[in-house]
Amino acid sequence: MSRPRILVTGLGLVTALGPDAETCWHAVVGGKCGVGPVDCFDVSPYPGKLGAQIRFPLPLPRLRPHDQRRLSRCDRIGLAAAEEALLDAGSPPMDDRFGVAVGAGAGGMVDAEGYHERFVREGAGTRAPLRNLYSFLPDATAEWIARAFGLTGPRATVATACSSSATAIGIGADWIRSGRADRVLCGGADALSRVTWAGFNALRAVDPAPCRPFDAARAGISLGEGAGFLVLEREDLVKGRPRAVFGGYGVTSDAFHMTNPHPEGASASAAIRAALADAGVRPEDVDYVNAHGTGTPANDVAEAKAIRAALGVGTKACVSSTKSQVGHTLGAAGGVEAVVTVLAVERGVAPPNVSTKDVDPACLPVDVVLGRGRELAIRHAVSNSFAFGGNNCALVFSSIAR
Amino acid sequence: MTRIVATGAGVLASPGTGREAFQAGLRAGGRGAQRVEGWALRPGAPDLAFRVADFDPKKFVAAAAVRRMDRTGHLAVAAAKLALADAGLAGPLHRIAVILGAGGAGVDTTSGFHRRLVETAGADPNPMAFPSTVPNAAAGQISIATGITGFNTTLVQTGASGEEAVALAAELLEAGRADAVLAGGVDEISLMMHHALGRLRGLSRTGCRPFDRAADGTVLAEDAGLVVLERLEDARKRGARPLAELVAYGRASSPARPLAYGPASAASAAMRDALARAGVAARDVAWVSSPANAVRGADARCAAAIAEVCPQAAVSSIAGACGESLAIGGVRSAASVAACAAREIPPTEGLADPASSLDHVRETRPLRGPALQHGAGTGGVDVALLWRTFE
Repeated sequence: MSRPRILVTGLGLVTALGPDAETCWHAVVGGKCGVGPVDCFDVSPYPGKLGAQIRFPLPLPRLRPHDQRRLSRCDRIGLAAAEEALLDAGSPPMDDRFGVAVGAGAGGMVDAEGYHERFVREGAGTRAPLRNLYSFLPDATAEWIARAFGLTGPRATVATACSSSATAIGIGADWIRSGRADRVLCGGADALSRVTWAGFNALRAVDPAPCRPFDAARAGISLGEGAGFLVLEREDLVKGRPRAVFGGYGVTSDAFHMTNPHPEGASASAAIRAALADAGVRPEDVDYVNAHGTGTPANDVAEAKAIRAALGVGTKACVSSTKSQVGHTLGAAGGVEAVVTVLAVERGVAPPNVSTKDVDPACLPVDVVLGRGRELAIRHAVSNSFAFGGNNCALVFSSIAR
Repeated sequence: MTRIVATGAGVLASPGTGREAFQAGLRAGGRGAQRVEGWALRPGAPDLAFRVADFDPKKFVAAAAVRRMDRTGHLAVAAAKLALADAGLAGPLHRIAVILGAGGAGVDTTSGFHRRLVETAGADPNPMAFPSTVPNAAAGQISIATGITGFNTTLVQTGASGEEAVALAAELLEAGRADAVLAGGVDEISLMMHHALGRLRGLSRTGCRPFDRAADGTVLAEDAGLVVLERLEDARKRGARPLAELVAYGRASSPARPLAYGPASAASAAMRDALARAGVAARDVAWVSSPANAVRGADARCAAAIAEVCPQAAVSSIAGACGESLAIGGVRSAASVAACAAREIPPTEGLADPASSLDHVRETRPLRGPALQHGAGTGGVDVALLWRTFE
């Protein structure tokens, strides 16, 4: 089956480490950690008090003031990363051949909570400002992005918690392959919220220290916020600078448990294999895996098994989790980590795990990168995103120069 | 081109549970809306809702698992099991995909979770409730309850969520990412959604009367509707009986605000896109299954799009008998499949005095040609599905 090659031509990234992809990338390879104190709401009732909060002012979005008043924090983070990605791609024609696929997690929850608190206190007759009702909709960020930039091709909001934006990237790429779109802006955005903060703490899934993926002493996640977007284009239309090849993707389901991963990582491994098959890449040619790597005891050991099962027991691939630096950005994680993976492929550097000291023997012999980025010619890279509901997505990116 | 057929449908909605009972319910005009009990509504507020009748989750879900799901999970798992049984589909489990649309799925659980945070100053979050706050909880529960390990995702696009799910299902089948797909939608009712729809769209005190001059708002509903889609060759190979063919799907997007619809021209563009891809002439469309839900401006928009694209077509909306659940596009898809299988157009319940001169269906009548199903999402997304009786 002949199908068009899809190139990544634009990147946009906003995380606690910085307001743009270049700043974030330098912090990532330099081994910086964005996890620290959180003051965007009261975290004092919870054992976990650290997170990766964005502390710089977000840019003014390209929307009229009437619309700007209706934006959630998540929308603003997403609009900033989306604009960077579109500019980075050289602002290709923004029309009905340009799709938008966005992954959503908590989304506008932190703003919706303000409305909902009045709903709880005042009852169903509350006249809380209507503009905050927009923030309840997981699809709001996609609609604002489409509106701000005039992108009127196919549109979708994927809401599968922590794998949302990875799956959005895959679905967006399929629109190009099937001829439904020429270009797609895809990825995701998410913001810290009281609901997710309280929820993950209630599940005892938050590490009181900055998260330590694959460490023997790992004790859970660190929550974060951010956005990561890619511009994907059909190869024959590319005028700008291609950064990497989007190879393929795979999505599977554990059929096991709502919050615990399958202990053997069976379906996670199947997602990686499906992505490699989709990309036409041999498992032994994968040089880097950007892991889901949440830092929970259950995820990391299951993921290490899944990686070994998919790539081969003797795999030489380097593995790291960007969550050790930018936290778990939930609905944005797949997009954020896809941008980091593309930069790793383009620049030939495997990013590190920063807070991990002693790799859990149960996660070996996976080669976990520690401390700072490691120079590495990366032919093909895999980015994993797993989620509540037993949802698994893997993406494959390849070097342009392969 | 890949031919895609529906080989089963599972539906739980006010008019009935299961494809045939549901269709019979539509024929009879449904059971009507009921007063909701136990909600702290402000005095004089509309208090109607469409509920799934006589629903016992234990008939579909193991007793221990019932407690781990919210109502959305119960409805979705039940619809999945009904759809798989209707299609006679049992595997292979890793080649079956689950694509759910969700408008507000999880809102009730999220609202309850946050209510407890507000009332305890954040001190006592409920760990049992948190996993069901994510919109994909229902799709995950389907996977856990059935053992299906294929592609699994959840799309959110208000009133177009269900149709978006069916469109993505077709794309997955075309791309070979699955051999069969459970596609549709699920939504629950909640005081929070009732409140939001009341403020934003208007809720009726008397009933849902789509397309009617006297329409005074919609009525909130809970429902789940899933169809089983397969490539025709695979359906044939396993000896399955095609109920309907999904000939094409079309989309149109406009840069509308999150809670606003695009112009009527976007709705007609989605319909034309589906027709063009199907190679079906607009004049041959026999029936339009419309998302009109008795919110007047939105109904007028739906009617205008039909008048522009296929003014000769018979028109009806199941919302008169089912209400509005947001992801009702799943149930609407099940209704399209049932209609094609039985060659029968369901009527618009509650319509007495049409506000437009379209050919409104007020009594069940024969279906003799392609059916065009419209899903209208706020944020400017319209999706159209073109179905026909399998020949």
